[in-house]
Amino acid sequence: MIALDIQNVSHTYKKWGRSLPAALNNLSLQVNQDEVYGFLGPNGAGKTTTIKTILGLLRPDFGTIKVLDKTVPNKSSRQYIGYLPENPYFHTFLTPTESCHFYGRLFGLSRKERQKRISPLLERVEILPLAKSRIGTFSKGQRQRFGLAQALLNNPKLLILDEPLSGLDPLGRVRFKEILSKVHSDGVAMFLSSHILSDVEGLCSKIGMVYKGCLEEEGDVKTLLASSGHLDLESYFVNRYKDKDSRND
Amino acid sequence: MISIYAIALATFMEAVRNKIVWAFGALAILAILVSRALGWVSSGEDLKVMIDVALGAMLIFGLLIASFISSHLLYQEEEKKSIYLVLSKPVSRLEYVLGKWFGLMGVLLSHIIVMLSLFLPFFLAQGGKYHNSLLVAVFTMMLEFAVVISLSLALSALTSPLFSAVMTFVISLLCHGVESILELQQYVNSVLAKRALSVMYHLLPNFSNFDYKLEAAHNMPIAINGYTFLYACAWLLLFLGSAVVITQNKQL
Repeated sequence: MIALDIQNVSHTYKKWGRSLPAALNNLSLQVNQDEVYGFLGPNGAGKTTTIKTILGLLRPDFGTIKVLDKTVPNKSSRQYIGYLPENPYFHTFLTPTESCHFYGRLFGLSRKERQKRISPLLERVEILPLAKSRIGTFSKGQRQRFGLAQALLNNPKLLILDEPLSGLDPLGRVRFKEILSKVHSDGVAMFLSSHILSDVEGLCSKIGMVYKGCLEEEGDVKTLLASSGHLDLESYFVNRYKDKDSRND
Repeated sequence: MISIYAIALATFMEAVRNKIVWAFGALAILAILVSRALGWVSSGEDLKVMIDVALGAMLIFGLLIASFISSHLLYQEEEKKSIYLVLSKPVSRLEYVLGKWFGLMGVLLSHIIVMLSLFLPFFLAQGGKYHNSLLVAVFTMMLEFAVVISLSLALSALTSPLFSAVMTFVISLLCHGVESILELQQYVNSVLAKRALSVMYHLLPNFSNFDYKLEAAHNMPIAINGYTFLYACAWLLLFLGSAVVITQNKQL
């Protein structure tokens, strides 16, 4: 089953009515339900723009996106998506429990269902002892873990993670990856954008390389590394993009 | 519906935990206390002055809350990107705007209830008598707040928070003086200026339709009819509809 189907999507940002260079240029990719897809590329390549179009926050100029056969931006397409943004910001005056009730209501979950899910979820991401503290007092790592909890609240079938491991210490990253592996083993497809390539290598079954809004290469990690002669994803990535870093454009 | 309720509740909770709301509330209470002092210096009219000043304070601080808090909250949601976590759920942008509107209405309603529950016992203790026109004046004030909040949401979706807050507040004050624009036309010679004033008169909602402070102070019967309500609904729908259209077309 296909969890995410992006077909020929293009998007151009506009500033004061003038078009900027295309952020997405005829991008197509698919993520199967049993996959963890690593979406890689240098800064400004179009990763976050792709994620925003999947979530309906941006409308593509051309192309179609389907999530579990539901067309984006139809709001039903977001019913089974869990999303953790980069540097998530929550309503700081709410506690994790209050926040989960808020997000749960947005998913249309009944009070009984929310109460059943929230405590185990907070325990799973190891912030249950902080359930009654205001999120405004949390460290970056604690916010990141709460971000994962809210992303899992609706029992998603597709989890979209934008830099999920940034701001976590080494121990936190290990724990976070363990949780993600467990979530995936429960049958959740993942679409993950990250610059921490060693983690991507460990987590992802398939990767796609995006540059200037185009998908340049796609395949499973082992095959890509074997065909390119690199030992790890980081050296492969650096070698590929060192001459065309978008910061030099 | 549950999405609208959830967003309204979160908006309400965020607003009432904002120190600015409490500062405006404290100043409004101070104004109510000052109304007594002003009453003493106005021979024989002290209770009327009390009502006039108290209702004026409720209005001004309500307008400040409606202008500044709504602009601040919307800006903060976009700037800090917490809006992504709301709109990435199965929530339409229409539901988002309506949720914000209801939440802010809840804040203004609380402001009115708190002010009234402080003012009324104080007023009665000073020898004043309760009359229905007071509540009718407060009800029409809420109609005005409903329009102002929707104007603020529309401007916030379009411009920066400070500009939209100041614009909302200034436009609200101008709308109280719409009748004066017609009078001003008589003193202007330029045809162009007359036209400009005429356009302004027709473009701005006339908030004197909601202003019954004087009638309440003098215990005069207030005959509000369906027109007042329909007039508020028409402007409310225009501004709220604009806010929805702007938000729906916004690229986040």
